[in-house]
Amino acid sequence: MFELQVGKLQVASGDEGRVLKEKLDGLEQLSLERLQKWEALLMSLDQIKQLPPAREKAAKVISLSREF
Amino acid sequence: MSRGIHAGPRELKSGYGWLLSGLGQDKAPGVPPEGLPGDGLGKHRAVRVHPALPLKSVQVFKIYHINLGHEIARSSAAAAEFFGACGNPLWSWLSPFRPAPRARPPSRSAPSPPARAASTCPRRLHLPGLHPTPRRLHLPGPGIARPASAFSQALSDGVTALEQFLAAARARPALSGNRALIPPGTLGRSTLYEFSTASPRAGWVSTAQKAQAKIEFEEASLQLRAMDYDAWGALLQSREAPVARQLLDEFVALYINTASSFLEAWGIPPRIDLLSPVMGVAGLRIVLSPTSGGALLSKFATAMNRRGYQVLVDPGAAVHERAMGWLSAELREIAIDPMDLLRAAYSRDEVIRLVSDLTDASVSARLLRQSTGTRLGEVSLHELRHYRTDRKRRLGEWDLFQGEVSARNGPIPGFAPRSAYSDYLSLDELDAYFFETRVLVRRLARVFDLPEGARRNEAAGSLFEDLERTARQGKYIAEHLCKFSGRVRQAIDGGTQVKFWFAYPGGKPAARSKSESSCGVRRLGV
Repeated sequence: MFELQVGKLQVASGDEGRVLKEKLDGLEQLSLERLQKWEALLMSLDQIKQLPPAREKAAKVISLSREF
Repeated sequence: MSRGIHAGPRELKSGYGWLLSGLGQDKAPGVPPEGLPGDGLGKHRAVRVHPALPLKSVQVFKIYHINLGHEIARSSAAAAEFFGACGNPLWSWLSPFRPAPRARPPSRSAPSPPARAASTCPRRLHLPGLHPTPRRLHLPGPGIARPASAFSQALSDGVTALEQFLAAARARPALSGNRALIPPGTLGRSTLYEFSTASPRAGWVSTAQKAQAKIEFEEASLQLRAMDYDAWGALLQSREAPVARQLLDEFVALYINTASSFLEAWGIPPRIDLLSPVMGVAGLRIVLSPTSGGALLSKFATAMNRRGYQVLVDPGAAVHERAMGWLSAELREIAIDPMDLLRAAYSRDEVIRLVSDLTDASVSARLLRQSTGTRLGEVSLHELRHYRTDRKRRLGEWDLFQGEVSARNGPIPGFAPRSAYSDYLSLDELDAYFFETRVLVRRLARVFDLPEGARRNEAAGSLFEDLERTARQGKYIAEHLCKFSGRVRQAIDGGTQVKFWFAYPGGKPAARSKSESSCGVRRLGV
């Protein structure tokens, strides 16, 4: 059960703005961190696709799984 | 959260639509071929998956989700507990659609048990206008949880009722001109339904027309609520499926258009319970059509948002649940042993941890009994991850924005939500996609542990595709969130008025300015 609030919020200053900013920091940090991971993953996948089949590919994938 | 929700690439890959249609591909050697003549099941009969069959297709794992759902849904109390625990507000709406009681007194005309066994299709169904020639229905076997005659009667009644409703709707003059916006028969295809981009026109109609819009919408809603999903599910698996789909397509199109007219005529903001019935239908379509419920709902929400409404949808788990109930019965009927589907080496600990994290103890114990020694597919895990997030939110353990913050129609420059869905659940999706990505990467690594060969290559290829798609979608969500937070921050710094949606766990006090209060606070769920 949760509430959904719809509203216009004046957050020019004060605690409300500060709290919101803190939350935004957290949101942005998390998003950035994951964005970077996904970008790195996509690059790795591209590299893996270029590798010849068999062992090299397997090794790269296994290493990838440890990183992620 | 079918799910849900879940518009975009993941839906396309993970919809339940191909669940049944793709099952035949997963048969192990030695499995009896195809269905029995005339049973209407075709290739869906006797599908079994070899325990050693690795990761060829994800649909194998989705079935577990279905069965898992059924096990929960089998007891309405347990289901209510489960979804209540998840805090899913939709469950209360969906509960009228709980599976019908197993035992129903047979009607007078019901054949005796031996006669039923001999004939599983005792009734002829007339579909006037669509099938001028009466056709014999071929229902899935006799053990689908009801006496065949009562079941067929429900089918017949339901189809007739829907036919009559649609005929009456066709005969009515269009109220707002919206009715033809979604051409019947196009739902479930990859068409993006375009609504008018005009802004809401509150007051564009007379009082009488407003009343008419309300009546039409209520009638459509009543019709939807009266639908027997078990019966329709069976029909959609029978030879009459094209007819049934046509009817349902038309009905869903009508429903959406009617809802749209209603909202527009009354100039009211949509409420989530207006969408729930659509989601119920989507639940069926998740299983039976090439599109997923999430995609359908996202299209609906997008279309409505383009018209200036703020539509939030949560096509999460509960939506799927109703469809799962009957489908699970179907699966049992065609002798699929869930354990056959699940036996393989996988991240058992991960599943157990997730599941035990997910539910309250009583439900958890049941889930664990089923998941021990088994594995879940990554898509199921995606949904379960959403359950888990919901639960954490409900318990106040999820403190980062509660998964929700979204600017809509506000003055934040350049902010153009892709869809209601992507905003509403963006942080939840970030979490779920990340989890899903991790699972996929690990699965890929396990595939490379297999001996080299065609099977490994095939599994790896499929996983690569899934992984890339998931990573791209996750990256998109992450980018979206970064941009969004930047814009909100900019607005705060500039003292701009920000209009946004916030979701809090139950009862969490929120500082409300006067302007907020004037916009109202809505409680979802019951």
